[in-house]
Amino acid sequence: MKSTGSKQRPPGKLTSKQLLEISQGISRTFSHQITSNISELMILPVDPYHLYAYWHLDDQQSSDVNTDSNQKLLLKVYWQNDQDKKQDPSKLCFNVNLDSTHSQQKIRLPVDASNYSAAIGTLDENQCWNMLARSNTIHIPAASVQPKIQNIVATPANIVQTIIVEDNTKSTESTESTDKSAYDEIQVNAKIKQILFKKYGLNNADVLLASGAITTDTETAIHPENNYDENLIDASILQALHKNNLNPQLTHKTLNLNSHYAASIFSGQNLYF
Amino acid sequence: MATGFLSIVLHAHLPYVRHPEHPDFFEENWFFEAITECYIPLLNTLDRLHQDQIDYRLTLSLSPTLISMLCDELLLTRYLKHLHKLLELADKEIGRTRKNPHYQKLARLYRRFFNNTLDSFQHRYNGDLLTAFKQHQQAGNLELITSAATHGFLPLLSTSESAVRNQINVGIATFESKFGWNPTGFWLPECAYYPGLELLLADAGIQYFFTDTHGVMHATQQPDYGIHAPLDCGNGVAVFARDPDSSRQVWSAQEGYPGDFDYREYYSDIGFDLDLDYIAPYILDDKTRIHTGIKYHRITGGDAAKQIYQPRQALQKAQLHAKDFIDKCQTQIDQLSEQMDRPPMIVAPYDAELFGHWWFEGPHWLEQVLRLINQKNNDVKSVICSDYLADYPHNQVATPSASSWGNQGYSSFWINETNDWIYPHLHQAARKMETLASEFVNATHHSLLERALNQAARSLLLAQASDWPFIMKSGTTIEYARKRITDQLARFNYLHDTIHNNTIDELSLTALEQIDNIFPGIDFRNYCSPEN
Repeated sequence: MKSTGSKQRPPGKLTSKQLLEISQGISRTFSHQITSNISELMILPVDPYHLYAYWHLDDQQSSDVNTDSNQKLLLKVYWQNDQDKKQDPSKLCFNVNLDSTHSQQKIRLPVDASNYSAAIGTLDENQCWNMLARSNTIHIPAASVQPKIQNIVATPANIVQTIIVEDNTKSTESTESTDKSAYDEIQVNAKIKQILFKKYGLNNADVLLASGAITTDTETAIHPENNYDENLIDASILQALHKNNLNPQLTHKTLNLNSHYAASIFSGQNLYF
Repeated sequence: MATGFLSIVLHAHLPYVRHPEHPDFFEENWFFEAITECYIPLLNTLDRLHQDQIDYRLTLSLSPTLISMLCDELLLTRYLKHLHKLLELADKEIGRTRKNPHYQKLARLYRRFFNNTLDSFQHRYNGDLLTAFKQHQQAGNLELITSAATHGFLPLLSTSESAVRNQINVGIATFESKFGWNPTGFWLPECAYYPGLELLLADAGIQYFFTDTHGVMHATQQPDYGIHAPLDCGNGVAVFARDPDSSRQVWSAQEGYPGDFDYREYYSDIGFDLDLDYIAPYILDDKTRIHTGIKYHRITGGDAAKQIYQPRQALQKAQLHAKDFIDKCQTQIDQLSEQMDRPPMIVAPYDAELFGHWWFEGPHWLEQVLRLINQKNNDVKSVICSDYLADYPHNQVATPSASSWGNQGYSSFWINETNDWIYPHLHQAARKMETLASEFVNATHHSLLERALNQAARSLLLAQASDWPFIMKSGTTIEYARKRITDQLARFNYLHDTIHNNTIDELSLTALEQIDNIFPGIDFRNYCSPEN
């Protein structure tokens, strides 16, 4: 049937049976699939500490990555902090190794209140970077009250940035490729925790008590055998924040991140589902 | 005592649950239960307040999917059938409990309740609850606002501006087509905001919206008045933040009023408590136990056996809680006033379905709150946001922070290991829709092609509902949620392919139009991206 200019009388009201048959037929045949054969990378903001990335490689690239064990699939994540727009975002990045059998991953972030973008590509055995796709840019919100402009230098976020930039610089100097960047997930995590401690006035014990698996001591934290468990850390941080129960009154311009938790489990939507 | 404002905002929303392809369908009960337990009791409350000339202000957000369902002939016909079935069950219960006067008293109460509901629906409101709400707005007490078309979680759809723009604009158009005017306020689904959204809201003529507390507290500038005055997003659109204290008093599972031991226990329902043989005709497929709405026990508390529900006692408790709520608002206002050079405002938003369904006495509590506010010796004044903005048009300029009112305050409830698979599909469909719109922008009006393109836009919008990833994470009716998304995406893909291949089948298209008959005035051309 032609798609334009049909003069035929339209079908009248269909029976439930007809509707069901047509609906089921369409669902069977057109179940969703990503049909694109172009490479793409998309990132989405999750919260001040995470973004979510998904990607799709074209058939050739996918085949190359899966068959060549020397090619490592890598995500380079770039950021620019809201408080320091002069900083060249291309110099602030860290690498995340990706599992080529997956097409999505949640990524822990070193700093909040920043713009992030990413690129997906491969590193060959000579550490040569082959970019396959570049992502959109997103903004990751602040985890706490925004500092006044004059306080920029003192923000813990900048401290972390500085450390990581310094690490990257050292890495650049000591190797031929910037791709050997010194991003260490555990080290960054320790820094994030330090930020949280400062921002929310937490005691280390608040977190350590619940976690039991990670310490903020840098030397220990970066030890490769450290039992790093992202979910456990998330849970322990939130638990510690919840325990402090910071109150967003005028006199305390800070906020308990988890104050809405009780609300959400009572959410009206739960009434029906 | 200082004077301050209290703005109570109810957000009424249900996903689009309409299944004409089945003679009856369980999930449509969500809608029927909400009419019986929430929307009609709320209207009855507003009627009484109006009758008693209570000068109150209340904001009610009606989501576009709910608006559409509330004027859908098929669903309203099925609702009446559902209500008659409940009346039959109540009658049966009166007989069953004849040797137990305590239970029989409650069974009679339920019969009266269902009879009153039927009478309200058929005679007082003529089956048209939307017009009844409209009359309260016209009386000057109620401000109606709306939300995104299918309650899409906008931050996670923002990879396509047209997707977000159409969620907003189709939502507003749905509201306008029913009520005859554009809303001034907008309820962001799940209070989910991202910087830049205010631009699209301004384009749509919206004056204000709401975020959770940290949306304002973590704004680009520290808010001078905290959350007790709105911010101007920089383009004239105002943002009001949820007050955590008043929210906690109602929402919190531990401290909240609805958990009081005198209130009706939601989970004690004869659908689960009675013999299967007896209850079979009133549950799902005669075998799967579900809530019927007839509940005989109060919360009681602790591990003790549930005690029988005492309606009078529960209503008295609701009255006490209303007084407590106002007292606490007053205390808060007194404290805040010392630090502010204008009257503080407390914004208290709630899901409307909490009132009556989960918290059976909720409508009574709300009525008492609004009556207490009206008393002469009271300094807490109820306000609607548009009136507040008319009185205080100049507000501090800052951009709110990305936020939502979900668990952990951001997007993680809507994107996690249980539901993340949907986003590549949703984003790809949104891009395809933009391409289709640009390619066929000149489609002849009323042609088969135009119908197919409009239907593709409906399928896309329905796939984008925030309810489905929410259910997948909360773990309730997961299979239904998955099916709704996959079905809608399949319908979109089917339409996309037939449009492209010039093979549109009118019978199939008509079937999809009859199944997903929402948004009759939709125009696919609005998906053209600005570059095109």
